[in-house]
Amino acid sequence: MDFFNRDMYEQGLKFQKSMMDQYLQAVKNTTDFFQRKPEGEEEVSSAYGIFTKATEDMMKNAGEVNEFLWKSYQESWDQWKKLFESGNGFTLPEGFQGMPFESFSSTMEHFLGSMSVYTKLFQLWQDMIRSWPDLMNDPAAAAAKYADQSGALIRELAENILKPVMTEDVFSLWESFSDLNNTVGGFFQDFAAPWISRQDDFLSCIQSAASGDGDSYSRYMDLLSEAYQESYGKLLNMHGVGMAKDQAAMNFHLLDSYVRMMMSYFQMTVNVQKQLQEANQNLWKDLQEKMTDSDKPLTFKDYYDMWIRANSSAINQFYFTDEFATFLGGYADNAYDFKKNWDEFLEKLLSAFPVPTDSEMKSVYKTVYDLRKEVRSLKKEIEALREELDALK
Amino acid sequence: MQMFDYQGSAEYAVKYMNGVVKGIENLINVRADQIKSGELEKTPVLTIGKMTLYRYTPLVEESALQETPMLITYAMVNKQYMMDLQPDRSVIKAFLEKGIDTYIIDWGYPAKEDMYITLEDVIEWYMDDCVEYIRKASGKEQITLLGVCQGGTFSAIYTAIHQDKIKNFVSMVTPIDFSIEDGLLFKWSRYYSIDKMVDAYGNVPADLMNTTFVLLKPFELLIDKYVGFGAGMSDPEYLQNFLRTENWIFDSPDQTGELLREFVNDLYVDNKLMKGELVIGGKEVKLENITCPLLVICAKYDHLVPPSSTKPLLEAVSSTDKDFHMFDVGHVGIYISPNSKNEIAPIIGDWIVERS
Repeated sequence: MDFFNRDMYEQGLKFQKSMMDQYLQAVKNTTDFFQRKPEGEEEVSSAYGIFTKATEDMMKNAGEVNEFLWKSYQESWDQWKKLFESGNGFTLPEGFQGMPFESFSSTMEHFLGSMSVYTKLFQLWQDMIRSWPDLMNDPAAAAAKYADQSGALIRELAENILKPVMTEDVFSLWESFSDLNNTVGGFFQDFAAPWISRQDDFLSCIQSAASGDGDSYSRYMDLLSEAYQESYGKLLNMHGVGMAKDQAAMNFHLLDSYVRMMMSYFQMTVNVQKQLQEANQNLWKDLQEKMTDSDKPLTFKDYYDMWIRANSSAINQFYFTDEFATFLGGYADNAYDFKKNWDEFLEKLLSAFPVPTDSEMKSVYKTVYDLRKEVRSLKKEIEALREELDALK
Repeated sequence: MQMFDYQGSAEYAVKYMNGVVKGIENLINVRADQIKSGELEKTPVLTIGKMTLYRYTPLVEESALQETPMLITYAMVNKQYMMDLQPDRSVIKAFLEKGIDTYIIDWGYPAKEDMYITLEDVIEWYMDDCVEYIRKASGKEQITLLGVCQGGTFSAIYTAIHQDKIKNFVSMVTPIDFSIEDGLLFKWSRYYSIDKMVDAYGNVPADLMNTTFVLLKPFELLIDKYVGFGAGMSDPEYLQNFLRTENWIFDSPDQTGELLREFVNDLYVDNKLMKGELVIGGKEVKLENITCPLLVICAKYDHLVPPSSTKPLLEAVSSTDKDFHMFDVGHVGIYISPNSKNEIAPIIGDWIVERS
C-alpha cells in the first residue's frame, strides 16, 4: 500500500493553491464590489462596518450578483473531494463519496454550525473554572456533569463535521466508538471516585500534619487504605480468564498483598510515632519544669533516664490498647499473606527447573511424619505382644 | 542557678567511654570456654526425633539420692540449659546437691520434617516416653514433674491426663489462664491469625519469635540493655555473664508449626485448658484431675507470663497440698538472677525433697 501517494500530495497542493487563488479573487471581488458602491445605499462610517456589510451582502448575493463567490466555494469543495479520493487505500474506501446531503449548502451549514461548538466548549470550560470552588464540594458529581456536557458537544461536532464525509455504516461505527468512550470514561470515573471523593480529606490531613496535628498521619493512612481497597484492591483481585489466568491472578495477588502489607505497616508505625511524639513533647515540658524547680542541675544521665522511662511507658501503654493490637494484627496477617503469595510465586517460577519446591518437600515431610508415628505405634504393639508372650512362658 | 550540669555530664561521658574501651579490650580477649553454659555433666538416655532426654550425673552417692526422680520439661522457645547457665547460679546444681535425681528434656532444634508434630505428640509420645523411661530406669511408679514456662503448660496437661504417674508437680512461670489482659502476648494473640503464620512459614522461624519478644519492650531491650552493657563491660565477670545470657537468649529453635498452631488457637485464643475443654488424643484434659502436691512459682515482674496467668492453677486443681511462691524478679531472672541458686532453687529443692 502506498501511504505516501504522490498524487494525494499533488492534489493537496492543488487544493491549497486553489483556496489561495479563490481567496485572493474574493478579496479582489469584494473590493470591486465596494468600488461599484450601489446608488441609494447609506454611507458607512467605519472600516469594521464596511467589512461587515460587505460580507453580509456577499453572502446574500452570492448566487445571484457575484457568481464568482459561489463558484469559488464550489471549486474548493471539488478540490477537497479529489483530495479524499486520492487518499483511498489508506484513509478511505475505494469510490467513497461521503454521505448524501440534500444540497451542498446544507453540508456547508453543518460545517459552519460546528463553529459554535468550539464557542460552547470554551464557555463550558470558562463556567467550570469560575465555579471551581463550588464544584469541589462534590468533585465526582461535577466531573460527571462536565464529562456529559463535553461529550454532547463532541457528538455535535462529529455530527456536523464527520457525518458529511462518512458513509452511514462508518458513521454508525464511529458512534459505537463514542459509546465505548463513554463506557471507558464511566469506568475510570467509578475507579477514581474513591480517590476524588476523599480529595478534600487528603488535603485536610496534609494541612493538619503541616500544622503539627499528630492524628492526621494516621487519618491519612486510613484514607489511603480505604481508597486503595475500593479501587486498586478490587482491580488486583478480579477474576481472570484464559489459559494463564491463574498465573495472572497470582501475580496480581502478590502485588496486592505487598501493597496491603506496606500500608498496614505504615498505619501501625505512624500511630506508634504519634505516641512517641506526644511522649517526647511531655518529656520536654517535664524537663523544663525540673530544670527550673530542681536545686540540683540535671546531668545527661538524668535526661537519658527520663527519656527511656517516658518513651518506654508511652509505648507500653499504647501496646496494651485494642487499637494497637488491631494495627499489629492487621500488619501481621498482611505480612503472612504476602509471604505466602511470594512463596507461591517463586515456586511457580522454579517449577520449570529441576529442583524440589517447598510444597513438594512438605508432602515428603508429612509422609515421614506419618511413617514415624506408624513405626512407633507398631513398636508399642510388638512390645505389648512380647510382654504377653513372656507372660505365657 | 545553672540548670544543666555540663561538667558532670561530660565527666560521666568520659568515664562511660573509658569503660567501653576497656570493655572492648575485655571482649576481644574472652575465650569461648569462659562463656560456655550447661557445664554440668549429663548423659543422653533417650532420643526421639530431635528430642533428647538427659540424666544429670548426681553430685551425691547413688545411695544418697532422693527416692523420687525428677523430670524437668522446658519450653520450646529457648534452650533448657538456662537452668544451668552459669556455675554460680545453676538451679540444676542446687537440685543435684540436694540429691534429686534430675532428668531434663532437650527439645532440640526442630527442622522442617518436624513441622507436623502436634500437641498430642508432645504429651502422649515424647513426654510420656520420657516418663516411662524414667519410671523403668528408676524402678519408681511415680516421678516429680517440674515444668517451666510453656513446658509447665505441657506438664499440667500431662499430669491432668496421667496423674497416676506423677507424685509431685512443680509449675514455674507457667501460663495456665490465657484469658488475661495484662500480658501482651496473650492480648495480641487474639488479634492475628496463627493459621496464616503457620501456613506462611511451616515452622515459625526463631528470628521472628525473638523479634516479637524484643519488641515487647523495645526501649529496654534494644537500647537501655546495651547502654547498660556499655557501662558494665569493663568488669570481666559482668561481661562474661552478659555474653552467656545473650547467647542463650538468641539461641532459639524454630517453632514446630502445627504444635504452635494448636497451642495458640486452643490455649491463647480459646483458653481451653482453663475452661476444661481441651482434648488430647481423645482424652479430656481437666485440671481438677490433678490431685498431687503442687508448687506454683511465679515472677512478680514477669512480662511474658504474668502472675495473673500462673496463679489460677492453684484454684483449678484438686490437690490439697499446694504451695505458692512469688519472687521479685522477671521471667528469666528466676533462673539467672543472683538469688536463683541461693534463694529460689533451695525453696523448690526443699519442697521436692520433703515430698520425695
